[in-house]
Amino acid sequence: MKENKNIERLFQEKFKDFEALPPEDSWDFIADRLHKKKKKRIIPIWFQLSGVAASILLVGGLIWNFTAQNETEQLPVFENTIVNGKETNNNEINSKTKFSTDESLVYDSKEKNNEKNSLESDQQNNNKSKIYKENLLNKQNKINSGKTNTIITYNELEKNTDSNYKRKKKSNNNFKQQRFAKENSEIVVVSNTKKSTAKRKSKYKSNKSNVGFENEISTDLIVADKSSKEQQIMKNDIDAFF
Amino acid sequence: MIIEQLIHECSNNNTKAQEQVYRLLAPKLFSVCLKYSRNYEEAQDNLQESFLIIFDKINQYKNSGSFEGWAKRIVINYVLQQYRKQNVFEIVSEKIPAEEELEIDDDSISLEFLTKIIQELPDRYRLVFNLYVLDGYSHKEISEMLGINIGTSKSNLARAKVILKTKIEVNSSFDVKKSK
Repeated sequence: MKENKNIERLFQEKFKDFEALPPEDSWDFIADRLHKKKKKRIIPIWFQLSGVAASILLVGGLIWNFTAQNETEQLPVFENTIVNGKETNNNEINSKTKFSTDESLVYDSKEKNNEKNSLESDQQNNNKSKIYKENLLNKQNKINSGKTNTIITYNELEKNTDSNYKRKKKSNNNFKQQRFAKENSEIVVVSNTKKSTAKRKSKYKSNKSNVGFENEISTDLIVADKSSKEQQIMKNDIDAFF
Repeated sequence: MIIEQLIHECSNNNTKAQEQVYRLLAPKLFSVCLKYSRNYEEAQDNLQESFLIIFDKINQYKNSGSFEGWAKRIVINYVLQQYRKQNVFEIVSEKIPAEEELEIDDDSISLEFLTKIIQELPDRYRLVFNLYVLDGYSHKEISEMLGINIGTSKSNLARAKVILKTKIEVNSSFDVKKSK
């Protein structure tokens, strides 16, 4: 039925009770977003807490690290002594006191310095090699008299002595080669020295691998002693030759 | 369950209560969205976003006035906010055309058709028409809501009605031709 109608009234009447069901997935979307919002609120709190925890750990770690470093810097000798003491105790049957180990260490380090000085000056002065020889003999006596607690530190010292010895020999060789390059007899001397060095080296290698190295060191020392003696004799000969 | 109790549960983030409120309000609010939006998809987006705001601000609802009215205002405000972002309110006022009466067979016009021609209106015409004709806001209120002059609001309403009338007449004449 047609009738004249204001357009406003037409719409008002038509939309009066207008309801429309939204698509079913709308609620799923809303529920999902609501769930995410809850999660989002939790995550920042965790981030904050973890950030605080991380910074505390970092600062704490730095402080601990610094204090630990200071401790090690203050007592380096003491710690080393303990380590050596433990090692010697493990190796020894006759246990020695820490004090005696300390003594031997001090003694060895002094010896080491003496050796170095003597070796350096030995290049020019042959008389000082006698002092070195005496030192070596002292060591030998010490080992033979049963002070085995010095073995490990002594062994380390031996390495140093060994390297010093090599240097010494090299320098001696150079020295001699420069001085007596034209002399035929010198070739024999040099070759002898080389032989003794080789012999000593092989001895040292076997010394490393052997279990009962106490005797080995003593023999090694004897060999080293012999070689030094040989050198001295040879040098004396050469000096006499001139 | 009483609506107040549901609202209280919703403010405690109770998902079941939220779903119940959604089921209760969604048909009414979706009809609002359909009228105010350009199309069905946009209406769906507006509904979803509006419900998120409703659940977020549900603890701000004071029991003065109906909860449905409060929720509806949130939907309208959200939609207007979207158009404000798009700067659809910039058009300057035009002269108001004379109002005409429409001769029409009431039953021949479907609700779907009317919804469709409302959605096809330019954004500002659609908003003013909806606010004034279907949701009972005054021109003064509309001018404040959209940030336009009262005259502009009146002009926009008149233009919206002309467009709608033309479309209804074309549709009716098409129907008459078809029936003949």
